[in-house]
Amino acid sequence: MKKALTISIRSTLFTIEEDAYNRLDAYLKDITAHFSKTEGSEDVVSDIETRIAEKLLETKEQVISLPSVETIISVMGNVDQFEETKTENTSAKTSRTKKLYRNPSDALIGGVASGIAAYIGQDVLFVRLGFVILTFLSGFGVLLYVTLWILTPEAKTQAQKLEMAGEPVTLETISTAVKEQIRKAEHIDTKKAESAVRSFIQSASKSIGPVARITIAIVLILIGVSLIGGAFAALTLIASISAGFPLLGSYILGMGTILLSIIIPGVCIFLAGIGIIRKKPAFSASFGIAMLTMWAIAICVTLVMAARFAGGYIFNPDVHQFQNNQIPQMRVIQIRHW
Amino acid sequence: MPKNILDTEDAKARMRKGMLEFCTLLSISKDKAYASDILTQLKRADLLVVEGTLYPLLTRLRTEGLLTYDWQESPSGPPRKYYSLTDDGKDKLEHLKETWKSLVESITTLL
Repeated sequence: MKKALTISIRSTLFTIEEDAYNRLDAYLKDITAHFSKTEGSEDVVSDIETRIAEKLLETKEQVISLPSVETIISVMGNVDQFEETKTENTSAKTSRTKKLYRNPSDALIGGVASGIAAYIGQDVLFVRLGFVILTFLSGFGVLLYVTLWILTPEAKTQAQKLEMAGEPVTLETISTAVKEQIRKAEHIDTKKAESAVRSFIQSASKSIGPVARITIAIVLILIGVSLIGGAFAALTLIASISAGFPLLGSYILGMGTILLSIIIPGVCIFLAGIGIIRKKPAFSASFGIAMLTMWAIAICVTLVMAARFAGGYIFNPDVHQFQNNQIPQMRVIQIRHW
Repeated sequence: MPKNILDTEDAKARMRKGMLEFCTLLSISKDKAYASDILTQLKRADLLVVEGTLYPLLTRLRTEGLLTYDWQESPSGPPRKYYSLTDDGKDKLEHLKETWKSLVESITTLL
């Protein structure tokens, strides 16, 4: 006895056995992922689906079985055979791409850290620790995390997960990855039954999960609020100090951009905190990108202002002499190096 | 497999690849054709290893403006895309035909 499903391919209904469905689904996902970067990808995928639907009709099977699906796939071919030539180097070229994704299957918040861990081939613990340490540097870690969260796509399909790990994306590797997941799941199940201690740890960590989530959210909100508050406090302070002086245009612009470059991350961190509590993003990706752009502009303007301000020191004789002494020394190092 | 055999296979595959676009255009030139018709012709000419190769090619030729399609109901199964050549496609095919003829001539003298 086998479980069977009803599926619709290009609005034609089919009844298909579960194993046959899994095979076909993996195949189509592989194709979709492969053509996702090329122009007119929807056409290619829908044309291939149409062809598969026709072939499934031709089998005249009441319930589509795995052997029929295998036959159709072997006629259609794997994506690496689509490249019109079957040389070794072309397959190597397509397989060794590694991409940065967010990893939803090992995520504490958004899967950014475990995505990076997969990308650089390090344990996720170190990456998470890195973020925590960076967070203590005036919230930079949080800002970095949120930015990466917005910019990196989530690894949704099995093919993307393989790309994330830098493994060649072929149907074989996908099926081994799926099997590995199933094996892991079964492994955990039996262990759970065997050991009460393990199940206790698991349930404990489950209840720690929400607590950690809320704690992180509150920390984010506090950082956000204090950044915004601090910015406004600085503004009032500067305003009161410079009350007696004539205000220059560039001076006001400089102050404004410094404040913007603090307030924008503040707002984003605050909203990220809210989003974690609500379990859905508090702002859209386009808002995030707009904020990031504004922030980048503010930073640039601040740097230009700072450079102008420091401009007076560049022609300081001490600095001049220092540069003159340095240059010949650098040349020697370069010659040795080459 | 020894390297020289692999190289030969590679050279053969490249030759087929070069022919594939030409033959696809040819198979559409006589009459409107849908994917299955094209595939039958290409397979008869032993130009295709797997059917999937055709679909990216058709999409590319369409985005290049060489061919166009219209939908037609099928007696069984999903509606079919019937492809036909655009004027640009016809022009390109004429050029390719000329090139092919001169190639055949020059290669025949070499053989």
